[in-house]
Amino acid sequence: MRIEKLYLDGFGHFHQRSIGLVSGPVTVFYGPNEAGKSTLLAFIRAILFGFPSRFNSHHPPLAGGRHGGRITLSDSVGAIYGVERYAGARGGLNVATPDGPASNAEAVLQRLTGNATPDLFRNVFAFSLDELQAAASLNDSSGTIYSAGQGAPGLPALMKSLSDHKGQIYLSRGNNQEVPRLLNTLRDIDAQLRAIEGNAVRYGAITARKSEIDSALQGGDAELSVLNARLHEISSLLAGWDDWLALSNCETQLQDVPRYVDFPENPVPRLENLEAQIRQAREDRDEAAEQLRRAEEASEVDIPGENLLDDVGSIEAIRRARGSFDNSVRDLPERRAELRGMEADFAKNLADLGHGWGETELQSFDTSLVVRNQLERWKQRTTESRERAKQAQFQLDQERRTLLDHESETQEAREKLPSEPPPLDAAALTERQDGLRAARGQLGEYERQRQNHENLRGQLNALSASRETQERASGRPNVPLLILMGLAGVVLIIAGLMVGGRALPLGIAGGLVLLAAAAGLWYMGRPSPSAPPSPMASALGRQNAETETAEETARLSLMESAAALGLDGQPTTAALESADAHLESARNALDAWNAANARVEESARWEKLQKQRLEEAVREQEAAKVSAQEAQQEWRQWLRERELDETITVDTMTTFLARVEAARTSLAEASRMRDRVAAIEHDIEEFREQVEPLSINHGIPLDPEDRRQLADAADGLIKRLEEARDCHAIRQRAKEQKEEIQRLLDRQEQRLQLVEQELAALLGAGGADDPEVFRLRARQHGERLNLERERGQRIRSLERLSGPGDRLDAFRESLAASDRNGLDQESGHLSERLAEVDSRRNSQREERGGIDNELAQLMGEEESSRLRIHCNTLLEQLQEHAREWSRLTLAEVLLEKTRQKFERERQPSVIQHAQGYFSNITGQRYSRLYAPIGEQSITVTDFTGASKQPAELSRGTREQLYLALRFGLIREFGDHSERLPVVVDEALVNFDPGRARLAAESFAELSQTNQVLVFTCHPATADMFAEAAGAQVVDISLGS
Amino acid sequence: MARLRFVHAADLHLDSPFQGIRSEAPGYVAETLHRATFDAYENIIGLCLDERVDALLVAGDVYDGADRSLRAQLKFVDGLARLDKAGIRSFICHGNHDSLDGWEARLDLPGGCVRFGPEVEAEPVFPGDPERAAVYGISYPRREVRENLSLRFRGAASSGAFNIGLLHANVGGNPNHESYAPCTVADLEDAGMDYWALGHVHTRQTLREQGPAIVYPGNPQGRHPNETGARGVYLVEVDDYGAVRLDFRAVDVVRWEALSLDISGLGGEQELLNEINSLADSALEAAGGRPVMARLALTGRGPLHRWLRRADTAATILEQLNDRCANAHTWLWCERFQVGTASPVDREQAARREDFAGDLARLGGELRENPGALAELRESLRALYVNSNAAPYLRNYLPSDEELAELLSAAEDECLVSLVNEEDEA
Repeated sequence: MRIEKLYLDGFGHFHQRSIGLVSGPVTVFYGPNEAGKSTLLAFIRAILFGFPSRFNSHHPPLAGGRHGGRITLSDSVGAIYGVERYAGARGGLNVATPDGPASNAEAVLQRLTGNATPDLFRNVFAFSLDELQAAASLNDSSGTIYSAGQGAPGLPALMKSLSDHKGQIYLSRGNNQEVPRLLNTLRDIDAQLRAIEGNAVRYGAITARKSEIDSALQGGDAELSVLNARLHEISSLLAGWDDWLALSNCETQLQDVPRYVDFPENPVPRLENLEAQIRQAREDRDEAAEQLRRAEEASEVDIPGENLLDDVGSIEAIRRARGSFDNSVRDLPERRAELRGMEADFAKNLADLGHGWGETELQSFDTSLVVRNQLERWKQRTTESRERAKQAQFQLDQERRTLLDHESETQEAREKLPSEPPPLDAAALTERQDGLRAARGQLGEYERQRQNHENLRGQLNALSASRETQERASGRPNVPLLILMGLAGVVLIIAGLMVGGRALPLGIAGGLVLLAAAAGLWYMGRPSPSAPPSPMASALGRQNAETETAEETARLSLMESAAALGLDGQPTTAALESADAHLESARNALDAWNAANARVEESARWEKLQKQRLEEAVREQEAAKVSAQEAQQEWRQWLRERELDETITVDTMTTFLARVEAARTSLAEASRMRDRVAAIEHDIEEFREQVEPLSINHGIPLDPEDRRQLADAADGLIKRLEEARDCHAIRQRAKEQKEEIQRLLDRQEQRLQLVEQELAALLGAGGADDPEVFRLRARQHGERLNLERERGQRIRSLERLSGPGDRLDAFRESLAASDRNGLDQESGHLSERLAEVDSRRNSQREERGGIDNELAQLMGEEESSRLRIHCNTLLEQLQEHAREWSRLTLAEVLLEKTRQKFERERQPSVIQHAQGYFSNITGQRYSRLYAPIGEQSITVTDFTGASKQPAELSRGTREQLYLALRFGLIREFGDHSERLPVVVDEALVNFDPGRARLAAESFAELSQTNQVLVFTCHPATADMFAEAAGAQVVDISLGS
Repeated sequence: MARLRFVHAADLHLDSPFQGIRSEAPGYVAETLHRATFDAYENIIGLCLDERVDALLVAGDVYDGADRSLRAQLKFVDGLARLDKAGIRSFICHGNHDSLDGWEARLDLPGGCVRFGPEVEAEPVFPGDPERAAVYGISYPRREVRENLSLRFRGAASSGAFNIGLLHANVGGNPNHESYAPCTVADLEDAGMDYWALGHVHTRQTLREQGPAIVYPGNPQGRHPNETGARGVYLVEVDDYGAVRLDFRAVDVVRWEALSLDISGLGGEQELLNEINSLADSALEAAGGRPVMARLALTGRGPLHRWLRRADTAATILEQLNDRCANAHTWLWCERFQVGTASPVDREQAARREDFAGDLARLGGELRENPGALAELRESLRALYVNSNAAPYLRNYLPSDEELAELLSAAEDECLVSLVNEEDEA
C-alpha cells in the first residue's frame, strides 16, 4: 500500500490543504518546529485507523473546515483508492474504489491495510526519535531493544507490572504480602475458636457443681435456724439483766421516801423567783423618791437678768441689724474716696467739651438718633463728593496717558510707511498676470505645433530615404547564387542522362527545378522603372505644410503676448518664469504698502477719538469740584444751627459726640455714688438710735460717738438675753417632771405589796410558813419523783425484750432464776458455732455466684460467632487474592509462551533481515546479530569477531541497532501481510554524518518494499535523504 | 376452622456465620449479620404466636456442625419454651449439620417439644385427639447418611389422621447440595404421608402441591451471596378434607441481592455511578424495609473498562456506594464489587494480527481449548494452592478447568489491553 496524496479539510491548523506525494519511494516532509509534522502523522493515523478516543489526542480544526480529510492510496497492483474520514455525527468513513464507492468501507480499508490496527502501525511501521532515545538510554536493562524486534515495545513494562503486582500478593519466601498476612490472622482465629470449643465441657461440669452447692446451702439453713433461736433467747436475758437489777433497787428505796400530796410543781425555783422580785421592787421604790426630791429643788430656783425678757423684740431687731452695721462702718471710707475720684473725672470730661459747658448744657445737648442719622448722611455725602473728585482726576490722568500713546503709535506708523508708492497698482498687476497666463498657453501651443512639425518633417525624410534604398536594392540581384543554381541544374540533368535508368527522370526533374528557380530569382530581382511619389508621401507633405502654418501663427501670438509683458524677442519658458517672479515681487510690494498705509489711518482715527475722551474727563472734574464746595457750605450752616464751632468737620463731629456721651456717663456715675454714701451714713445713725436707750435701761455703759463701743453694747445685750432665756426654760421643765415622778413612786409601792402576797401563798401550798421548811419538803418530794421515773424506764426496757403482761412477769422470773456467768458462757459457744456455719455458707454462695457468672458468660458467649464471621471473610479474601495471583501467573505464562513461539517462528527471519541493515548502517563494522532462543537478549559481533551486548555499545550504535531491528521486523511482517508505509520522525538526529547517510541508504533499500515517509525539521537531513535516497522533499511550511 | 395449622421451617443454621463476604463489614452491618439467624428464628416464633398455630415443624439443620454454639442451643430452647407456654407444640428432627452424634448442652426441652431420634417415630399433634393429625420423623444419627430414609416411613402412617413426614433429605438429587438421605418424589409419594415437611435444600420449592404435598421452605435467612431474595417459612393450613394451603411468610432480617450492570452503553464515570445508585435504590425498595447485603457485578465491554481496572477505582466506588446507603435501619452494604467487564480489545480481531499480540491471542485460545495445556497451567498454580502455608485453606480451591479458562481469559485481556492499546496510554 502506498500513500499518494493527502487532503486535510480541517485538521489542526491545516485547512483545505492538499499535499501530493510524488511517485518516489522516499518522501521527506520538511518543516520547522510547529509547522505541523506531528499533526500530519496524526492525520495519517486518524484517516487510516480512526480518530483517537482520547480527547487530548484530537487535533481540532483550528483554522476552520470540517474535521477530517482524505488520503489517496494505491494498492500493490497500482489501483487507486480514496479514503475519506470525517469526525462528528454526520461523519464517518467512505472509501472510493476504482469501481466506485465501496459499500463496506471498513472492510475495503482493512484489506488495504492488511487488517492492521493503530497500535500495530505504531509498534511496527512508525517510530520516532523519542523511541530510539528511550531505548538507548534504558541501557536495555528491561529488554526494550530486544522487544523492539518483536513489535511489542510495551512488553517489558507489562512484565514488570505483572511481577510487581504478584509480589504484592504472594512471594514464596515473603512475609509482608497480602497472603501471609491473611494466613497469620486466620491461624490466630483458629486458635481462638478451638479454645472456645472447650466451653461446652466446662458448661456441663459447672452445672453439676452448682446443684451440689444448692443442696448444701439448704442443709445449712435449718441448722442456722435452731442456733439463732437459742442465741436470741440468751441474748435477751443478758440484755435485760442490768435493767432487772436496777428495777429491784428502785422499788426498795421508794418504800423509805414520804409522799406529799399536791405539792407545788417546780417549788424551789418559784420560791427563789418571788424573793428576787421583792428585792427589785424595793430598790425601784427608793430611786423614785430621790428623783422627786431633785425636781422640787429645780422648780424653785431664781433667774439673773430676767427683766431682759421684756425687751426681747428690740434686742432681736438689734441682733438682725448687727451684721449690716459692721458692713456700713467698714464701707463708708471707701465709698467716699470713690466719690471723690468720680467728681474729678466728670470735671475733666466737661473741660474737654470746651468753654461754656456745664451740667445743664450737657443734659440739654441733643445726641438723639435723628442727629446721628443726619451726621451719617453728611458723612456719606462728603465721601461721595471726595470719591467723585478723585475718580474724575484719575480718569483725566488716564485719558491723557492714552492720548500720548496713540500719538506715538501714529507717528511710528507714518515713519514705517514707504516713502515711495509701489511700482504697479492692483489693476496693472492683474492685467500683467492675465497676460502671463496667456503667454504660457501660447508658448505650449507653439511648442506642440513645433513638435508636430518636426515629427512630420522626420517622417517625410524617412519615407524619402526608404524609397531610395529600395530602389538601390532592387537594382542588384544575387548573381553568384543564380549562376550556381543554374550550374547545379545543368549538372543534375547531365548526371541523370549519364546514369540512366531510374536516376534519369530524377536528374532531369531536379535540374529543371534548379534552373527554373534561378530564372525566377533573376526576374524578381531586376530593377523597376521610375515611379511617382506614393499617396502616403503626399499626405505627409500636406500635413507638414499645415503644421508649419500653425506653428508660425502660434509663434506670432506668443510674441504679441511677450511684448505686452515687456519681453523682447521670442520668449522661452525660463523668460516666462522670470516674468512671473517679477510680478510676484510687485504683488508683495503692493501688499506691504497697503498694510502700512492701513495702520497709519487706523492710528490717526484712534488719536482723534482719544482727544474727545480727554475733553469729557476735564468737564467731569470741574463738575465734581463744584459739588464738593456746595456740600461744605451746607455743613457749616448745619453747625451754626446747633451753635457749634464751624471748624468742626463731618469727621470730627463723631468724636465730639463721643466726648459728650463720655461726659454724660461720668456725671451719671458720680450721682449714683453720692446717693450710696448718704444711705450708709443713714444706716449707722439708725442703729445707734436702737442701741442707746436699751444700754441705758439695763446698765451697760455707752459712748454714742464711739462706734466700737456701740457694737460691744449691742453684743452684751444679745448675750445676756440668751442666758436669761436658757435658765427660764430649765425651771419650766423641772416643774413639769415633779408630778410625773410622784405617780411613778405610787406604782412602785403597789407592786411591792403584790409580790409579798404571792410569796405567802406559795409557802402555804407547800404546807410551810417559812422558806427554809418549804425548801426541805421540796427536796424530799423531788427524790420520790425520780425513783418512780427510773422504775418506769426499767420496766419499759424489760418489756421491749420480753413483751408486756405475763410475758414480762415470766421474763422477770427467768431472770431471777438465771446465772449471769452461765448465760455469758452459753452465748459464746452459740456465736462460735454460728460463725462457722455462716462462713461455710458464704464460701458456698461465692462459689455459686462464680458459677452463675461463668454460666452467664458461656450462655451469652458471642465471640465465637464474630470470629467465625471474621474467619469466613478472611477466607474469602484469601481466595480472592489467590484468584488474582493465579490470573497474574497465567498472564506471565501466556506472555512467556508467546515469546517463545515468536522467537521460534518469527525471530530468525527478523534477525536475519536486521543483521543486513545493521551491517550496512554501521559500514560493515558489525557483521552479525544473534538472539539465542530463551535468553531474551541480542548479541552483536564486530568485524574483529568480538561479541558485544547492547549495553556495551555506544548510545548512537544502540539506536542504530534498534532501527535495524525495526527494519527487520518490517521486512518480516511484509512477508506475511500488507506492506504499509514506514513513517519515521527525526530518527537520525543522533547519528554521525557518515552513519546517517548509510542509514538513509538503508531507508532507500527498505523503500523497495515499503513506502518511506520521513518527517524532519533539519534541512541537512532533508538534503541527505534527497542525495542518498533520491527522496522528494515536501516543505509543509509553505502553502499548497 | 382449619383442621390443622402449622409452620414448616427448616435449615435454621443458628449462629452460623455468613459466607462469601470479602470485606470487613462496618459495625452496624456486622452487628446485624451477627444476630441475623437468631432474629429470623425470633420472627418464626413470633409468627407462630401471632397466628396461634397448632405446631412448629423444623426439618433439620437447626445448628451448623462445629458452630453449634451454646448460645444457639439456649436461644433455640428458649423459643420452644415460649411456644410451649402458649400451648403450641414443636417437632424437631436433625439433619447432617446437627446430627445426633454432635455435642449438645444439657438443656431440657419443654414438655410440648418432640425431638425425633434415629428411628422413625410417630407423635400426635394433639395428644388429646391422636386421630386428628400425627407427625412422623427421624433424625440423622451421624452427619453422613447416604441411606434413603424415606423408605423407613412406608407403612407407618395411620389411617384417618393427617400424616406429616418430617425429614431432612435431598429429593431428586439436587446438585447444589450434598446428597444426604437421597430419595425421589416417587419414594415420598409411596410413603403414605399427606404432607412432607422437608429440609436440606435452601431454596424454597414445592415439589408437589397435594397428595401428598412435598415442600422445601428453604432457609429462613440467606447466609450467602448466592442465597438471594426473600427467605422464610410456610404457614400451612389443612382443612377438614386434608387439602393443604401454603402461605409463604418471609422472616429474613437481611436480604441478599446480586446487582448486575452492563457498562456497554455507558459513556462516563458519572453515568456509571448514577446507574449503580439507581440499582441500589431499587434493591432497597424491593427488600421491603430490610437491610440489604449486595454484591455488585459489572459486565459488558466499553471504554469504562480501563478506568475500572485501576487499582483504586473499585474500592472508591464501593466506598461511595456504602457511604451513600449507610442508613441506621434500611442500609445497603455492598460487600464486593466484581469488575467482570471486558476490555475494548476485540479478541477475535486481535487473533487475526500477524504480530506479537496476534500470536498471544491465538495461543490463549489454543490453551483454553486444550485440557492438557490447562493441566500444565494448573501445575504453575500449585506453588500457592498446594505447596505453601496457605495450603490448609486453599488446597480445595485449586481452579478447575472451567475456572482456569476464565482466569486465562482475564489474563489474556490484561495482556492484550497493555500490548494493543498502547496508543491510548501514550
